[in-house]
Amino acid sequence: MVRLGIENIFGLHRNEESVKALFDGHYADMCLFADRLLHDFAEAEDLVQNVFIKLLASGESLGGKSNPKAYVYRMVYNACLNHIAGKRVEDNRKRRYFEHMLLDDKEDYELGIIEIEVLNRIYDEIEALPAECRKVFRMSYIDGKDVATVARELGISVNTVKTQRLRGRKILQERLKDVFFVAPVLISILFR
Amino acid sequence: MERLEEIGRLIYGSLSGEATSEEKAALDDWLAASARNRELYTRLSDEVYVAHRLGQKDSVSIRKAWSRVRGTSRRRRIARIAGCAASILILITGVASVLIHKNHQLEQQLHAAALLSSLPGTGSVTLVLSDSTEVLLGGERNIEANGTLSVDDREGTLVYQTCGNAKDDESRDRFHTLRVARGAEYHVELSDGTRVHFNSGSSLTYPLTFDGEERRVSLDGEGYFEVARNGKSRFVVECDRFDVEVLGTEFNVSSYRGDSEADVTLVSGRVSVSTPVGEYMLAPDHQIVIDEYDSAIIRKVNAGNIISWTHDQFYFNAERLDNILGELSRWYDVEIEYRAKSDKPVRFTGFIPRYEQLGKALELLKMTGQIFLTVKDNKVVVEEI
Repeated sequence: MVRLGIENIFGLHRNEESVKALFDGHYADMCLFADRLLHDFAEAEDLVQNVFIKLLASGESLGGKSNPKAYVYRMVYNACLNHIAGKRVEDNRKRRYFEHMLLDDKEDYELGIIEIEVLNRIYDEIEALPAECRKVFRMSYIDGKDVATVARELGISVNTVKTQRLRGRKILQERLKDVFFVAPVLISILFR
Repeated sequence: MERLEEIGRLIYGSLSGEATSEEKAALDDWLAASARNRELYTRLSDEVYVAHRLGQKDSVSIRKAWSRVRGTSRRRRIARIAGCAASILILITGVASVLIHKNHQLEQQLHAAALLSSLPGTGSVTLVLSDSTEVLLGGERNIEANGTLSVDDREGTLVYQTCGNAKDDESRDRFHTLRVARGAEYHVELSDGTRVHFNSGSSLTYPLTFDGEERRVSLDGEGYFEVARNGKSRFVVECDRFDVEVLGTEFNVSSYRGDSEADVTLVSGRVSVSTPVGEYMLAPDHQIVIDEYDSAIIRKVNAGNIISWTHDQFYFNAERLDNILGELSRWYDVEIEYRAKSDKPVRFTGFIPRYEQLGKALELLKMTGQIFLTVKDNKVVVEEI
């Protein structure tokens, strides 16, 4: 008879909760981050999942890291480089070389992190729209569905969809002047 | 990382027009530093790009991804622990024969632990279209749309909707089959508004639209039906050994090919069940149990308990142990062997949580003191004491 507690003896659960928390909070963002380098979202998802599989299977504790989130982003970034290089790049010097050759240097890692930060702030802004308006806005802008489809799926009229969409757009224009202009107006510095 | 997040905050501040003059200056410095910085800023002020990126973020199913991560890492970790344990044993014993034996035992134990910690929700759900193409469900997408009918998969529910009153003879003659594998559950909303919740290891075949006096579907497995009343049109569920006929009501059918007993439980309204032997009428809170020789008994039950599987609990009411194990085996997709002691079936009554590890469910059965559990070669063996 096998004791049900055997996996506790071997510490299978020890690390899982902290990794799960990190996963729930950052999985989607990490996929976006990896997609920036791989230009293939399905591949990016696979890659991030594999990083977490490795993390869990190794039983490595995240508790000891000063910034577990940054640590895992690093793992994802390295995995992307390895993926692009087509093989594992174990040697640190070799990795730096690849990093330089392929991606112009660590600037790329940093830009990825910055992008996620900005996207999340915009995402939160959309989440803060009034409920009905948010639903319509997300389906039509983010999921790219046409007005008729949105109306059918939500069981509301085409006109309501149009009104709610316009309303969401107006609110966001108020809050995000430079993003939700019909034609983005670039500040002069960009062409300096 | 904080520094990077700070830059993100500055960019956002500029996009939202809320930046102070110092913040603007800091951002200007950053933008001036490199062309790639400026490129990122341009992209983030492009509505189309931002919408595309947020759409990617929305397309992710965290729950699904986690279940893959967890499953795979568990298997790898167990393999790794087995590897470590084996090498420790080499150091300690130094005797090859003993070692092989011990290592084998340990791997068996670790294997058993993995088996008992199995979680449900791993099975796939497939829709077989009328031209026999198979579509994997579980996402969020439109499967078919024409002038009169649309079929949409909405992560957990398959929805058929007819548009307008147009008669569509063609879709009445076309059939779909929904197959819910072991270890999964799913919902369907048929074109007449009838809703069905399927338990694992079930399949239902039905026409895309209904017409006339009779709505006829064919079921293997377990489903909870909420039939929409549709004038005088009867709704008939064809099962292996009997048919269930209703006008509009809620009931549960459990009829798996290969199970020794099948049952139908009525929640509200009226149903009639016809077997090769006879026709039976059921009243609410009554259940008919039909055995392999087509003999039927009707008993009073609490229908709410019977359908508790739709609320993440198993309920067994004087259920035969072999049927209970069949249900667990389907739900966890794990092979369970049952060794009976006598011809007289053991029966259990009680609730078991559905979304816990398999070990938990077996432990509850074991607590009755009537069974003995072992794990052998990738399957659980349950013996009557």
